Amino acid sequence: MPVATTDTTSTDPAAGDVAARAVNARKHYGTGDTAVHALDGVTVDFEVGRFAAIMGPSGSGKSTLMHCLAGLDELTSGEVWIEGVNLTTLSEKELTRVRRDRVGFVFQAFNLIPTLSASENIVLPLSLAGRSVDQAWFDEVVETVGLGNRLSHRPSELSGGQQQRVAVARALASKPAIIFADEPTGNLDSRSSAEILTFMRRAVSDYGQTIVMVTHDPVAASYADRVLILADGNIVHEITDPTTDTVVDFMKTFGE
Amino acid sequence: MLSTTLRSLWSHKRRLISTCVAVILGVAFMSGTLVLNATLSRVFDDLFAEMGQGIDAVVRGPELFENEFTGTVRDLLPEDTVENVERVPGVAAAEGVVVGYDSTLLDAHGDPVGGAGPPTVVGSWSANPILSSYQVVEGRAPEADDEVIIDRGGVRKGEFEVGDRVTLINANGPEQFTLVGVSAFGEADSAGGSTFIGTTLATAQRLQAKEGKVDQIEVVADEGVSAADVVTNIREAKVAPGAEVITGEQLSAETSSNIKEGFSFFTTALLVFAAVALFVGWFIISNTFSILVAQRTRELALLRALGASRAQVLGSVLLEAALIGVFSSLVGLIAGIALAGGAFALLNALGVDIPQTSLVIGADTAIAAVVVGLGVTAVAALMPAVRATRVPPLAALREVALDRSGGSRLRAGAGVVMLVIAALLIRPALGGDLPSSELPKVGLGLGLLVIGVLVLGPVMARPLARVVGAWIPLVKGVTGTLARQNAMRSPRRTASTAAALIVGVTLVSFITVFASSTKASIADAIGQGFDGDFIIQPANQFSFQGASPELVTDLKNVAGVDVVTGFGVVIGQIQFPNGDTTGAIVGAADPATASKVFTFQMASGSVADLKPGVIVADEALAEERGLEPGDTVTVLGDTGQKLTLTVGPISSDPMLGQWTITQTDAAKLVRQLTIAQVGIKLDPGVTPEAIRPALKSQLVSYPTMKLQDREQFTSSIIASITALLNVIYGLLAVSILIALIGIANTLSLSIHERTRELGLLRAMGMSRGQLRSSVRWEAVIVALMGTSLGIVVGLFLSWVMVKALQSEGITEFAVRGPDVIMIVILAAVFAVLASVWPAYKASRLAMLEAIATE
Repeated sequence: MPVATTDTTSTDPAAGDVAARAVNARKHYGTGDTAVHALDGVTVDFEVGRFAAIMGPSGSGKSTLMHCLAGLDELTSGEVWIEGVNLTTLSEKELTRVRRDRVGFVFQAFNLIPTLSASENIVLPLSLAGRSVDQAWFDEVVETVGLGNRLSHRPSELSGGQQQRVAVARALASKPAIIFADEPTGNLDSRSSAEILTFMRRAVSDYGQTIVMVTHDPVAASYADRVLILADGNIVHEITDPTTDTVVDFMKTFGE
Repeated sequence: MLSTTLRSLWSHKRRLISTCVAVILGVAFMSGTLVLNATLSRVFDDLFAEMGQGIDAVVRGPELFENEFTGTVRDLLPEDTVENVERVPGVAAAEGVVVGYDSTLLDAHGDPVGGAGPPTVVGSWSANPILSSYQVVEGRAPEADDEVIIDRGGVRKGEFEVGDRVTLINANGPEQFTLVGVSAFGEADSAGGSTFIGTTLATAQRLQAKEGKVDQIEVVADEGVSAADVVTNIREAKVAPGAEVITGEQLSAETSSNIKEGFSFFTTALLVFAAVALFVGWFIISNTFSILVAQRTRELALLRALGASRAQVLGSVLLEAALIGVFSSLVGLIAGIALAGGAFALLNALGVDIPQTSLVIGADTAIAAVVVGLGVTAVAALMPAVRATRVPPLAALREVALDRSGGSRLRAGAGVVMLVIAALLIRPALGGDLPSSELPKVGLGLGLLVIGVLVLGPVMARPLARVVGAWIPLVKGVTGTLARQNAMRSPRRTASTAAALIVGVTLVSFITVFASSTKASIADAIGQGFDGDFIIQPANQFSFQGASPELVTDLKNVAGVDVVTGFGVVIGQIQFPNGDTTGAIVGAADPATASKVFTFQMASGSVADLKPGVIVADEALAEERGLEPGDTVTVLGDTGQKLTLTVGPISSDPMLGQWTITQTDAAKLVRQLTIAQVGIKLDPGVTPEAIRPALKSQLVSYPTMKLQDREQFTSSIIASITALLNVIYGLLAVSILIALIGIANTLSLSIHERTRELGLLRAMGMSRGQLRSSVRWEAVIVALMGTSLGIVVGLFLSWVMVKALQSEGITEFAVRGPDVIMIVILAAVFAVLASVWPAYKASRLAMLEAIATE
């Protein structure tokens, strides 16, 4: 699946198959004895067209890693790359453009702008960029997440699951290089969760979309191609082709 | 509960700043006016107390009549009364005094001294230093009849030196005098900026046509005799028929209170504008509290869940309001005192010579400031506070829903009822020919209309924002859509933000259109009614000083002049057939020439029918008083002369004023008839430009009179309206400023509420610029809403007023497109300015905090 913007001059030899990468990423809060090392030298690649889940106990640094990868937060040291662009060298303005054009987001809550309709929310990143909507792609995405008859509704008129489907559609609509999902099913019941995760899975399998998801839920993690386990700011383990059971089993041993 | 309140107040302090500013501005305006008033009162009390210090008693003529333009008019006393007074036991000295206000002093360059400022007084110089409030500081007192002494202020302004010849313009024309001395008024150079010219008694009498008479007699009592005793003695001696005797102290108090009454109009006007500012502020305060309460719903619900009673919640919000009210009132009071100080500095800079006094800050001013500031804040916070008590404890556990409610049915109903009542009250005005007794009802209707619109605000806010902002998404894309939706999301909040602006803009557009209608009507009336080529009238329009009737003859003799007509003015009193009396300014015309230069609109008869023994009455006035042609009225002049005149023609022309009589009759009513306005018609074929120099040369002796061709005449009237308009704009600016602070305030508070949403937008890739733009456009929509409603209401108000005042000569309803566009553009520009800070804050939000899930 080709990504929408590929006009950047690549300085990274591995850019072809890596959508996002962190190199020796460190993030410290505070100084001296009270310093907290949220990320303690993480190095990781997220390949194009793969679905990765990040797990770990609270405070393990998984959200920080995602925020830094997405250009929402800055590293103390190290590098973060998206599609061969080194985010650590970018200005605030350039970072905003990267988020707008190359990154999609799905959050746990407050995902939609309450004053905009579902369809306006879906095309929001495109509207902000002043880009025209690829109608065929828009229809396909809407069709995939099953929102056809709800496009003119406001978020307050949608259920939690429907809202999250709009959020997924929005993330897909601009064909970003990578989608970051922060506990996308954290506020949903199991049936809605399953629907959302299925859409995300299909986006990866059918359209070659790259997704990185932070989650607590072993069931959610089992939809991914691989699961990275973070603890104390470092990747401590990786599970490839996970199932709910393998994840649960590992978490059990990990907890002890 | 108290500590919770204080802590919450402290944690919201930055958000409360603009609430405080709204109260501070209003209170400052008000207390500044009060301080100004109290200080001016003190200044004049002191001034006149000093003036009357040496005088124990004053004898003056009987009161003739009261006139609202000049105050009490009294008869003169025969000069020999002075000798009668001197013979009264207990009188040490008595001196006759003559004072007049109808002269103009020319400075060294031949220009009038003083202009439109404080008056020029010509009076008899008192030889008795105890009686005189002026002292010689250089040279000597006037001894010969062609000598004068002028106060230091006048000498400075006129650029004179002792020994100079100075020119004084009187009713008979210019006259030269020798300046022999310079005087001072106590410590001051002048009495409140006026110019005092002292002459011999004989000269003062001659200049004012008071030969053999005096205005009043000032008396010093013998050592050991009290003022009260000497007054009693003089009264018993019956020194002159009808003479009134009062103590010097009483006279000072009386004069001072007359002067104070003169500027009480000014103070009242300022207080009205202060009230408007506070009214506008009220919306801002109410809005701020509504939002703060909404944002604290959870906190309040938690308090309720933990056992706080409704009364405690109510008390906590009201206490917060009270603290803000007291704090802001005190700051406002201090700012007001500073404002009053600035006003005095300004007055002095403008040449109004006010003696140096410290500002008078009465306890009543301080109390009024705190009571009003606290009252406005508390009342404005009451509704939000009551709403706070309705927060159910359960709300603490729920996601807080946004208040999207527009108006309740009750609100819509109340608003509509108000509008209907307003319509009923206004309706009679639309038919024209409104009796002036109905005006207050129409005014009430208009007031109710404004309030009705404000009440309906929340109901109309959403559709109005949709319409007003419809074009913005087309221009600004999604940024514009967000701006418009945000302006619509909380109609009540948007409405009360806009309401503050509605009030200001309504007044601005009302005043603007009303003024331009007045201008158009005047231009129209002059266009139709004035058939001549030139008008001569005093340069200072508020002056009754005119020229000698000889001027008319002189002008007539200029080659190329066809007709010259002069109008004089009589200050007098009219007595109606039923015995009622009223003070009046009566015009004195020459019917034969007047109707050749002017075409007056008449309800019946013609000005040509005016002859001695006849009076022309204004239509509205005649209607009000039940006068018909053939009825008689009695006119009393300041000589004490009475004339019984028959009502003849009825005028409906504003140029004629209320009453007009012949100059022959007028001459019997006043000592010296002066001509206040001259109309000139040229021979056919003579161009105004060719004859102007010849006419001007006739005016050399009358530097206070100005020659104006038709166009200059019209534009001078219009210029005076424009000047007044600018003053009103300046005063309304305070209200508009408060309204804009309100917009900024509401935006900041809303942005605080939308932190997460803004964070999400930023994460989605909205640039800081786009975010700022969206906030900016939201402000513009709110401002446009307030402005467009304000303009519509203002236009309607002025239309009704123009209709209602048709009989007063306002016939044209003139809306100038550029004026309206200017108001809209200014509102949009100010809204953008108001949004700068909130927009900046919004764009600097920490994104991660905004989107962090918990």
